Amino acid sequence: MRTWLARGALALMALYLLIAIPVGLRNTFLRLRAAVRTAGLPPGAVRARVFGPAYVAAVEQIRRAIPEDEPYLLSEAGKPYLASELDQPAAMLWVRFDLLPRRAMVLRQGLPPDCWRQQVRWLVVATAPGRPPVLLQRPLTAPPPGCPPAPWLRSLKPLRPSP
Amino acid sequence: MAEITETPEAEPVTAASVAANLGGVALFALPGLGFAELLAPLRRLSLPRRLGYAYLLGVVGIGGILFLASHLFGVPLRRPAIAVVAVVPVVLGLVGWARRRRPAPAPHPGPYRRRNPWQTLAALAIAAVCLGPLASALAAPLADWDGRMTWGSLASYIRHEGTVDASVLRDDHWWVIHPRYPPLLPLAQAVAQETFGAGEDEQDFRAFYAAFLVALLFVVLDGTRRAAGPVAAILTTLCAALPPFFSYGGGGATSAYSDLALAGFYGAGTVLLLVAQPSPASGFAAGCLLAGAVLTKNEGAPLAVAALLLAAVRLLRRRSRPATGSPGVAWFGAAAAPVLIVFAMLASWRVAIPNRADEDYLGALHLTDLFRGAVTRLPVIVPEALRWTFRWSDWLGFWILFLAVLLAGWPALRRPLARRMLLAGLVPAVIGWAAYAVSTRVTDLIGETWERFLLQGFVPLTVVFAAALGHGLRRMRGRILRES
Repeated sequence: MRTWLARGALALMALYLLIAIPVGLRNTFLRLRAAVRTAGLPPGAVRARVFGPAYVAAVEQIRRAIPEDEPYLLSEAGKPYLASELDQPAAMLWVRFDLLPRRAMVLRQGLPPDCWRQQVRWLVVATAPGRPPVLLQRPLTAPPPGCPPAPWLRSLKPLRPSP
Repeated sequence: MAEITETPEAEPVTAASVAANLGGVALFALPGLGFAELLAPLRRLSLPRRLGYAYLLGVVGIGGILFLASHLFGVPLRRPAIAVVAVVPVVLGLVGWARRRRPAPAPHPGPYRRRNPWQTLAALAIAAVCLGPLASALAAPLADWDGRMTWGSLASYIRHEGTVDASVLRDDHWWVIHPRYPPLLPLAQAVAQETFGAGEDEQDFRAFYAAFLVALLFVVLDGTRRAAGPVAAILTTLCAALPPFFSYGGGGATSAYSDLALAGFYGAGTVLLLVAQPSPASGFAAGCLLAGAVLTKNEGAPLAVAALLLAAVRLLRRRSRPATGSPGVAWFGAAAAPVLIVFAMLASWRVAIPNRADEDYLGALHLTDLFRGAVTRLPVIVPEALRWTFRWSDWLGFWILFLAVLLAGWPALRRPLARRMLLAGLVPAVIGWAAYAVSTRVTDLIGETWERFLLQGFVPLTVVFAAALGHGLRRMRGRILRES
């Protein structure tokens, strides 16, 4: 009985290998073929093939506008405020990665006034994963009363007083 | 809003990118070989069996030392520090190797042993299958959720600020997902990027993640060889290399998830702790690898504790029946020490980071809910888990084969080694079961995580598979000999 069980298991293994090895080799062939097709392309061109040229161009524009050490507000189109801490919209996560290491700040309902949030110059609106985000510049005024100037603004020209 | 302009063209960098990617692997593999040279139980292994441990030890060694240096002493995570930490173990390993070299003995005639062609074919098939995820990782940008959401983001912040105590983590103004997640892989990724001067979209870390699949398979080869001999080992390793989930699934080699690395650290630690001949050196190596598991993912902590508990059982069992090579307290202490140190390091690092954008499962856990849910939710958990276990596109029937081999070779489970490894292999599934018992979205969570729990316990389960397979092969060989 046990020998028959062993033979059956070995036969099943042979069947598994007969199926899985060609599948594995085919997967490797497909990936190598895809790699050859993108050989020699700069990273931007490869990203454009995968994520779409409009998305990549929009991200590049945002990167040029926002210095690496300056933060930005991040929101989702049609939903300016996150509902809770565990609310993690896919579109916002997708864009945030491509803007790293820039720091993102999000808006949540019920948050108290914040010295730094009011001094962030940029707002990035994520539309959908893979869709081009939109960059908006917020009017910059002097720090709110009682707030020191944010560190990322110290290199900028003196701000006009708030109306 | 300004007009959208064309993306500026950069110079073609494919060859340089491939070289940087492979350099990122060497950055950890070479120091790891140096560490392995200093530990006798690893030094004695053949190169293929040693390479898996070397890569994993390199990642935990380089990453762990830089983590300590950055967190405790404020050392900037830049090239000078990276160079020192990477070069020293290589030099120590070379010195150790040179000192142990002896003049080659005079050759004596012995029986000529031809290399088994089937083993060579199996090795070639495994290499060809592993080439696929490597090519995919090098040719396409990172597009998986956990890699972009958590691990890659953390790596970017660490690299930008040159410290594991990045201000973006410590200030809850900034939107960071899971800021307290263990930072070993993001740190290692940042180190690889920094070493080779990667630009904004140059993802010179992809091969670093893909190499964990290769390391895992080398560890499987070693663990199964110890348990069941060379034929069962190569067959098991070949079967283990083929499920597409390991190469292309969410959590596989083409992603920047941490599950493959966790499987490697935990699996290698259990092989050295629960299978290998016990010695303080093997215990220390196992402890370092389990410490790597703790520093890789939240699940690493309970996995490391479970492995140490199984080692304690092994210690108590052998001490009641002492024999040559019995494990001693020094062996267990050498294994536990690195894990305890890393627990303390991680706690110290986390204390300054306000937790946010995190489910905080442990904080929300109530034991009564856990026990009740573990039983009452079984009618939901079991069918859903089985559906993902036997998903053809991810596993090609591997787990059906696993059950068949276990059934055919079940007497092998009488061996204490096989029972220990079976328990070790089931621990991740138990962790998953606990999470599903209390989750508010059970079905979704099982779909997102169950296969990764199977991955985490994979190495110990392959050792059980090989033991059963070896038993079956011996039975058949014995029958053939009797019949002839």
